[in-house]
Amino acid sequence: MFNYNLYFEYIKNIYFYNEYLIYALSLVLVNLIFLLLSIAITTLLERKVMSSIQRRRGPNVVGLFGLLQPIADGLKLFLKEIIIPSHSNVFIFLFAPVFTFFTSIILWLVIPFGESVSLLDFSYSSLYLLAISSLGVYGIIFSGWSSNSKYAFLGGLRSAAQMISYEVTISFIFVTMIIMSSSFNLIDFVLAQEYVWFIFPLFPLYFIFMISALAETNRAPFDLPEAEAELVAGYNVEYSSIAFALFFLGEYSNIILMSGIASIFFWGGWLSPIGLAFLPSFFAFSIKVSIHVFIFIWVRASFPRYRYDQLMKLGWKTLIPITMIILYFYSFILLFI
Amino acid sequence: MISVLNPINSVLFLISIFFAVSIVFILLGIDFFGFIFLIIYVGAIAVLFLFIVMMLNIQKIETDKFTYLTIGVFILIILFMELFLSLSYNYLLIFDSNKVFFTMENIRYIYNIFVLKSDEYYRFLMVESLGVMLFEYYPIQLMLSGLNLLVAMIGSIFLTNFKRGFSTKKQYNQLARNHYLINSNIY
Repeated sequence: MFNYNLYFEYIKNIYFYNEYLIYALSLVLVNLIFLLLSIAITTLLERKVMSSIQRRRGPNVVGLFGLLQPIADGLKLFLKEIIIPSHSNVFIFLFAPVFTFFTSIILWLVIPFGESVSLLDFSYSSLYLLAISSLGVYGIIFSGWSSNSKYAFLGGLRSAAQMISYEVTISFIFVTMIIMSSSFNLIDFVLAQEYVWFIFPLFPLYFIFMISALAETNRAPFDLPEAEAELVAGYNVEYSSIAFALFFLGEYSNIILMSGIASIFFWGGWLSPIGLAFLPSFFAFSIKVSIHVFIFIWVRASFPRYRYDQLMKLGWKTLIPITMIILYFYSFILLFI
Repeated sequence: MISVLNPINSVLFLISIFFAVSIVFILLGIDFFGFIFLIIYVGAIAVLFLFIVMMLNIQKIETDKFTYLTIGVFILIILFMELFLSLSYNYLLIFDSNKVFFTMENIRYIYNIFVLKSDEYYRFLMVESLGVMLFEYYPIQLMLSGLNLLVAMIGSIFLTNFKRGFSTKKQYNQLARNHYLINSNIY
């Protein structure tokens, strides 16, 4: 039956929701712009930090200290020609980078920057993060398959197998967090750390999380999908111009997101350390995220690449049993002690 | 009637169906099932489907149109009857029948009813009651279903183990150049 009362209420609410929608859309737009800016800065930071580790100068020509280098690179990429390989599936070929970029930016909807500062606050935000990050595999598989190239296909398969095997570890860490804070909400994860940050009771788990975050984002020392010696550049060999740029943006967005998740889970998110509570909330959060991004780059400059069977062995036979044991241990403590 | 001949495209459509089902769950207010469905089916099972379909050398599917068409139409009619029967007995039918179904206002209206106004505590209670049902009232059934998965896992390990099991791996088929001409019966 048609419910008239609800319908009249809906007519009343239309005007309110139009204003609300415009407000929300403007917030999303501002967030997107600053996300893209931070991605650009991260690419520059990576080159600068790696050059300083390897005792050379790095980009220093475009702009002051090379600050405009990412913008110049982006402009160059956008002006290039889009090349579509012959006998490739054109729809999926063009759909894959867009999908990768899309999944990597809609993950930022639920990340809390402060106690009431997040675009979307609902009770299952941690499950949302898991679900959407598991969707990100499809962009890579489809890009590898649809480019009609053996190198791209092998790179895509490798990358997808790696991502789904390390996702299991990350899901176990999520479950531990859910048990520790007895909520599915990311904001409650942080509020549960008001007295002690989870890094102190859960230090081994933080270590495992950083390793699997490196593997999940396909970064060195686990950057097997783009092992230059064997596969030319992994799943994105055949991509050029803006399609490649979208893959690139998605990858770096995922790096910053993983840093954000690490700081929310273990370093208390926006909570400042004792004695520095006068600082604004976003300041503490951004400092923590920057330190984690620096760790990502530092690891890339320091460690050699793993072999593929070593990677799989590390994922399935070492990290997953350890996280399961930690999960059982902490749930036992929380239940019985 | 099979309209999509490429198996990869059909897996893509399967993924989109899983995605749509999880969105239906979320719109109905059972977010937990929606997200779990998305994580398990889209994030794990469909990826394995896709892997297998990409690895196998399937070139064409048989295009026998009419048997599939009749069965499909039959199932479709049953599904639609069920849908309209359930809609006519519930308050689920919230659309004005004179309007087009998916305007922006209708979507906003659905969002208003099912997402904004449902109580957060009530939703969490649903997860808790699910856990209580599983672990207090049906623990044996839960363990039996776990055993089911264990049997599948042990079976797959046994089939691929070369030393102690029954390995179905055929080295020659993987390495030889025109093996599909010799062993053409497997395709």
